[in-house]
Amino acid sequence: MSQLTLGQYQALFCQELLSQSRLALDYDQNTDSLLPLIDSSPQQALDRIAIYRNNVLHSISAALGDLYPVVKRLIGDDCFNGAAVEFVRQLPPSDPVLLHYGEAFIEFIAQFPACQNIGFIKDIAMLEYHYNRAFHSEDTPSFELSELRIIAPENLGELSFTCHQSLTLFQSAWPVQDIWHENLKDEPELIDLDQSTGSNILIYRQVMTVQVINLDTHCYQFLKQLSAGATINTAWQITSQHAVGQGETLDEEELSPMLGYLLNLQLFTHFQLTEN
Amino acid sequence: MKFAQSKSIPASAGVGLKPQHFELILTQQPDIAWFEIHAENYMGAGGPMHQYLNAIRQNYPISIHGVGLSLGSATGLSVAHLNRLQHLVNRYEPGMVSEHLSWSRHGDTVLNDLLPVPYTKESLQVFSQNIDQMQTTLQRQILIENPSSYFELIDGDFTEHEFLVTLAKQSGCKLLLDVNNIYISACNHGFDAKEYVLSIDPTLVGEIHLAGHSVQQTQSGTVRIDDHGSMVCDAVWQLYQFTLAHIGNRPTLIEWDTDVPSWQVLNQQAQLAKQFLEVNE
Repeated sequence: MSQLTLGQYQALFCQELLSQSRLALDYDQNTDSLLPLIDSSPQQALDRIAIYRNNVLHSISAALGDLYPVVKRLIGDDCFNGAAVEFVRQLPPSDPVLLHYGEAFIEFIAQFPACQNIGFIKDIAMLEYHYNRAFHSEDTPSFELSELRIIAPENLGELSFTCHQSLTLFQSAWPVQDIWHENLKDEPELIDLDQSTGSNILIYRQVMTVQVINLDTHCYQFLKQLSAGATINTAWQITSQHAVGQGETLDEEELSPMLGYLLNLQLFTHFQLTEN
Repeated sequence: MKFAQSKSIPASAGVGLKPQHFELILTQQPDIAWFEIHAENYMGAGGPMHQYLNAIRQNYPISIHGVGLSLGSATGLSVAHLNRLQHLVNRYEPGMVSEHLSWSRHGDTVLNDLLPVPYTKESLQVFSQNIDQMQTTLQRQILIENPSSYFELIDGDFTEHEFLVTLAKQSGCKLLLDVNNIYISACNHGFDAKEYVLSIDPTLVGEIHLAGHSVQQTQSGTVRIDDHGSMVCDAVWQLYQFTLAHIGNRPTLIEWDTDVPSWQVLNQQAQLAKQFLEVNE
């Protein structure tokens, strides 16, 4: 180590661990080699470097496998591991807490050559990433429905809500909740994609359990507005306009059960009355 | 430097806490002396991991074992990560906090493994500085674990055990002696494991780790791999007894992190360690 500082050694080893394995012959021509620093024969040094390389790539890939179990099942272990190793090489973690790693894998797996024909793989990855995020998100209890009694009925329309931090909403052209749910089972049932419609996915954590719900389109639009901070009146107005845009009419009487349904999901941590 | 008083962990056998065993531990309250957690697994903001740990720590002492601080990084510690560790320590008030004699981060790249350092004067200075920062931030004495390794670097100024003892004396930290790691490195590099143990000042040792390892064939021969995925082997149990005879009884942890077994199998390993501790009393 007499010629290298600790920092230089670590830079060299870091590069070595994230690169493809090389033959002893390649090292002979390299002046930036780790080999002369290792107290053994070149072949043994190569074998031992390979163990570290394998540990690094395997441990981070395994963390991705834990994060994306259904993606892994859908594309198979070999394909997933190949994609994961390539991803780790291109975008290694920058945070030692791997609970926060792997969001960029959603886009990566959608573009991965072997998966480009699996149209729903990106949305399944999206679902799994946000499932994990919800699992580890902050503990904030939802408010008790009885607390709403303090709001005069004529002011209810001016209420707005703060959602639980775990909440994620996204739409997919595929029945992703069904695909995901079936593939958590030992023996999944076949899903006829030709007969399926898209989905409006809500993910959030209710106390200890992460919920994944496929919402009705109007309910999804309504919640989307509420989660962006709109009052009940504004959210309903935009949801109604959206329905008209789709050639449908939303009856005013549907507001109350829709709001009741969402309140019972315990999605909201706080409520506020907006002053006019 | 003065450190905050810790809730002590008994000189008995504990096991690594695994989510697979959360429910059983809470419902059956098994007879086990203590649990150790990997700090980084509890650095999410909330959720079931914290709910379970909160409940379990009501009944058992907890030790926090960091695997991601990278005390051997020449570029210094990640202050953000150290602050998260501090938050975790404040929240759970563990009986012990430990980290490794290794590095896992270079610049912005995290390698998620416990990588070897050269045992040079420069490395000693880097570790001393980083351990000092860690102990000052956490306001407590920490323990440093000896690594398992697959190669040795040339031109070191110290052997590994000389480095550890010097570091502990210089920085005021204690040592976590991983007997499985000593055995693995001794086999991989051809040194005498017992001589290594005998060279460690018993007063510096605060904890012992035990784990299983695997044996791999490579082109250049056999290598022992520290994978924490099986039972402790007979040779490591023998080295453990030798270590207890030299060091005295210390809190002893069974680590099992891959292919996590049933509680019954894990607990049997802990009971075996407990028997050796009782015989050594």
